[in-house]
Amino acid sequence: MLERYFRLMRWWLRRWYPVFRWFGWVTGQEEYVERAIDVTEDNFERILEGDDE
Amino acid sequence: MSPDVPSEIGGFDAEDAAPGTLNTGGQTSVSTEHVYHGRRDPTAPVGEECTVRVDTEPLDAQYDLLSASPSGFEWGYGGSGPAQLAIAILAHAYEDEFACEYYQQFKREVVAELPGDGWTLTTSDLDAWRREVTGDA
Repeated sequence: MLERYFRLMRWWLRRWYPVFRWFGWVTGQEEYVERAIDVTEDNFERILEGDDE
Repeated sequence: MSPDVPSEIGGFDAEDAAPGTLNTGGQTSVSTEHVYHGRRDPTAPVGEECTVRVDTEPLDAQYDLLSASPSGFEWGYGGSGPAQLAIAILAHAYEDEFACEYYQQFKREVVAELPGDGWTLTTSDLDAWRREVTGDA
């Protein structure tokens, strides 16, 4: 149940990546946004793999 | 897969790993063919599960170009470990400038699609991808 919830969260957040990247482009902080997306993906990956268990 | 892949390299095929993203149909004028080989050992200590070799040598992480993942390489998703792997592969195969400019795209299109257990990429695969993104004939 929780895993489905986190997969839904990841799916929903990924919908926003183009928007984040657009803000990064507008503000000249593309690299910052990409790092933030990377860390977000890392965290979801760890959560879904259950690395904290 | 390229016919130049040594027969002792088994495991996953790059075209299986990322269908539609890699085209090995053409060869370029590269002087040396390298084989990039990633393996995951779930029994290894934390942080040492993923090993990547180029031919027989460990792949340099290129931390001078990008320090995204102190814990090393990862693949199969779009995080910082995959970003480190993307820039390491591109920097080994091409110029540092090209690697810095295209590693995010390479991460999304190739590294994030690699199968979790293991994979093999060749210089020909990389050349095909590079031709796609740069539009070179």
